[in-house]
Amino acid sequence: MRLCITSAILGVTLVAGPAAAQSLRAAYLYTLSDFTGSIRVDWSRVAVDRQRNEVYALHQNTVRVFNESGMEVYRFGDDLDIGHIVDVAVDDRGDVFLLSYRDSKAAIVRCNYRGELQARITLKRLPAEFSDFVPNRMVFQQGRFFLASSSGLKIVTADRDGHFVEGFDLVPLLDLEEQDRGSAELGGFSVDPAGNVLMTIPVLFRAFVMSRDGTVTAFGRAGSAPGRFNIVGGIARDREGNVLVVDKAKGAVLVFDPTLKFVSQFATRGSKPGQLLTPGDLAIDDRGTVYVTQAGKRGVSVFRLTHD
Amino acid sequence: MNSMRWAFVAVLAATLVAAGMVGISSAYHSGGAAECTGCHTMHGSNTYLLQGSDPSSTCLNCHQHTGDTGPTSYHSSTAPADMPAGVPPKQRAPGGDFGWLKKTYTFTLRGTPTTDDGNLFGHNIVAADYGYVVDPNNATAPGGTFPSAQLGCTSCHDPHGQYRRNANGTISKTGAPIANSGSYATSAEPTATSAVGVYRLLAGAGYTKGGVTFLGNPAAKVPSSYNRTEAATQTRVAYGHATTGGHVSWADWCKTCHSNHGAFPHPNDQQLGSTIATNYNSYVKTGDMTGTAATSFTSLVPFVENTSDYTVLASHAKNDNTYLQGPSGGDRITCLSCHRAHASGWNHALRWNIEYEFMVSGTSWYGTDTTPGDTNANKHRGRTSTETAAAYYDRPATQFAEGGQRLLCNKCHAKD
Ligand code: HEC
Ligand code: HEC
Ligand code: HEC
Ligand code: HEC
Ligand code: HEC
Repeated sequence: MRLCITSAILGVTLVAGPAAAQSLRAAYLYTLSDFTGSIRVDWSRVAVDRQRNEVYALHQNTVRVFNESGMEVYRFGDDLDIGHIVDVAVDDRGDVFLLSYRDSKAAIVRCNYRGELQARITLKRLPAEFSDFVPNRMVFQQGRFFLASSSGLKIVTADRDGHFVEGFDLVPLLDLEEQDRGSAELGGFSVDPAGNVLMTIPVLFRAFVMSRDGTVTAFGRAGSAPGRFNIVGGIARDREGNVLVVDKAKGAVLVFDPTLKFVSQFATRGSKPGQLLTPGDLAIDDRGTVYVTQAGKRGVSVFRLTHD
Repeated sequence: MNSMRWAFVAVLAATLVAAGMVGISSAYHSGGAAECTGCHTMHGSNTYLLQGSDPSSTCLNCHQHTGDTGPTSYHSSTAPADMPAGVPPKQRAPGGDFGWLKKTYTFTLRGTPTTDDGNLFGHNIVAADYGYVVDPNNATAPGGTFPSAQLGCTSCHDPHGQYRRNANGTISKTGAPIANSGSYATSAEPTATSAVGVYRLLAGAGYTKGGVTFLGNPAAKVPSSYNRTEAATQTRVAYGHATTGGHVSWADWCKTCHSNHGAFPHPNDQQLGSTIATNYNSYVKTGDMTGTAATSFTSLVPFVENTSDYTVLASHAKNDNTYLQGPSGGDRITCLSCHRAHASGWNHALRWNIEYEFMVSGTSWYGTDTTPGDTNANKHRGRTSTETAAAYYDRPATQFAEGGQRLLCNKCHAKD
């Protein structure tokens, strides 16, 4: 197969790795905005609504909903009085779930598409090993909640009503030791449409894919060269099965093919349009629109990824 | 990219590898230099080829992470996304959460609009990517010459963690390889062939930054789980007093930058003496002097134990209230008896609010919600009761005198 590097418009630098089996084009589009201009908050949480091609961005108890052109169409959250909202997820019906904390207790709140409170869901029937489970990440996929505690290194899945389905203790699964709980923590967490859990652990310079049966594949190596990990953050899978990994330090997004071979990376560290400054998390929808959160008051940068 | 510089880095890396110091381990710094690429990038363009706009941004790439719901591992800062108005910073480690520096409280005090500006709450580290900016008030360290514009994590911590404690008790910058962190109560002690890291990778003898040079490392031990709520049990750092073999006292370490601190000329490093030690041990709360030495410790007023023996300190660094022994007359007062090292919920990074003579309202903390109104503004200073509780590391207000708890200066002076 031919090595093919396609550098995209608008100054997005693309660096291909030796395993590049396909050509990939990454174009910087814009920053998520409202009618007054781009919204320059640091590290929102982003979740895509694959059905409606909308994206949800949470920052300080405000959930903003953006349309396909990255323009804010709706916002809610502040008036809900449900404590501190830490994550947001959307299901295929358009219901919105908010993971929130009040008095150190977690609750999931279901809202309709207008952000009106519909129900409070509590986690039920947690087995004893998960009694101390304090999730700070939440994805809704395949009709289930996937909840993760990024420093507790545990994952729980639950049905729509909050009934415990499965629990995973990542310490044995990732070959860590008990003392690593609290000293190694998840930098990125997402679930692909098939229900595989994707994770990164920055201090280990590693990314992981945990399939439905609990088997774990690890990938990534420390380094500054293209394809290597400096400090990894968010991770997500696109519709073609490629895995995208954010590198906070490089200011780049690394793309791995479905077999987890490095394909190429796009963006570089900096403050110009199309560059990224300490990116944190990312989300990708079915059209290949990539939303990357970052620091430095630069808001959420939006890219379009296309494969030739 | 500066190839000369990287040639040098490569040599240093090779040396460190040879010394057995490099390797991915769960403890990222593993008491010494960590994986170089965690902080440096060959393809970077800035000074030192660092992975951030400045050294502190580089550190915060790991020491701050969005999505915290409570105290989280080794985080030293809470992301603004996790602390909307009225919600306090999340971390509860002994040094304190830099996130407080981003909280500014406004309130009306006897008709006058008043502001407690976040930059007063501690050390304003400069971390551009993370929105931390130079202190607008102090051009230099009060009582010293260290320029505020250069203040960052690496002003106080050695990013390469080169200082090590050896089996003979001395601290050196080179020597036997560092086998593990030396900070924790559970860390293995040094052996004839391996050293351990100094407390918190702090800067040691010869470390020069901003025109000042440190003269040694202070001694201490901390429980291995230290970033935690103190709602039920306290986190006790056992600060020690060591002044030889590469050590300095805690106050002298701070005085590296605050040599002449005179704004509040309180004795430091001084032994408590039997009167003050007895006060400390008897003091439970205002009006209640029925305490006993065995249970008198409070992490709101820690003291320095008059020992340089790290195994003794390790046995006292607890987070389960199994060691709450108070001081004897030979123990000492230090800067950290009153201040936190990073930041706190109060002015001057103090451990408690000194702006008002009382601390609690009945059985609850002062707050804009619990004690609203203009005449009460000095009590809450714009904080919600949740924020006040957080500034006290979540301990219940009921530990203090319901009828009028006075300031914790009284823990030692018992003038209430
Ligand atoms: C925890 C973060 C961190 C790690 C890991 C790290 N460095 Fe550094 N390094 C820094 C920072 C920050 C500076 C900037 C100087 C300063 O502020 O003290 C620096 C500066 C340097 C310098 C130039 C200044 C000096 O002290 O000589 C060299 C050379 C260097 N590092 C080499 C290395 C090598 C080699 C490794 C791996 C063994 C490494 N560093 C690992 C953070 C780190
Ligand atoms: C003014 C000096 C100073 C600066 C600046 C400073 N530290 Fe510290 N740090 C300390 C001291 C002293 C301690 C030990 C505190 C104790 O045990 O009471 C400490 C402790 C820590 C700890 C252990 C947890 C804790 O809070 O006790 C971490 C992690 C840490 N520092 C990280 C950082 C990072 C990251 C930065 C920059 C964003 C930073 N420090 C800036 C002095 C400093
Ligand atoms: C590397 C130099 C350095 C060291 C070491 C250092 N400081 Fe500072 N400190 C500064 C600088 C610079 C400022 C002024 C900038 C600021 O206030 O943020 C400052 C400010 C302060 C303030 C005033 C904060 C305010 O805004 O009112 C306090 C209190 C303080 N330091 C306490 C300490 C204590 C306690 C220690 C020892 C644990 C210590 N410092 C060690 C450099 C240092
Ligand atoms: C007994 C408690 C106590 C001790 C011990 C103590 N301080 Fe303070 N410190 C305070 C108080 C209270 C203030 C606020 C004074 C005021 O508002 O006038 C303060 C203020 C400061 C300030 C800010 C002064 C300014 O001009 O902005 C610095 C810096 C400082 N202390 C550093 C230190 C250092 C360094 C040490 C140890 C050498 C130390 N303090 C020991 C209680 C203490
Ligand atoms: C950890 C114990 C401790 C705490 C807390 C403490 N002090 Fe002291 N204080 C001492 C010691 C020890 C001395 C010196 C004793 C002596 O000289 O008799 C002292 C002396 C003093 C003196 C006399 C100073 C002099 O030069 O003679 C004053 C005034 C004072 N303290 C005020 C305060 C205030 C105000 C606070 C609260 C902000 C405070 N202290 C908190 C231990 C403490």
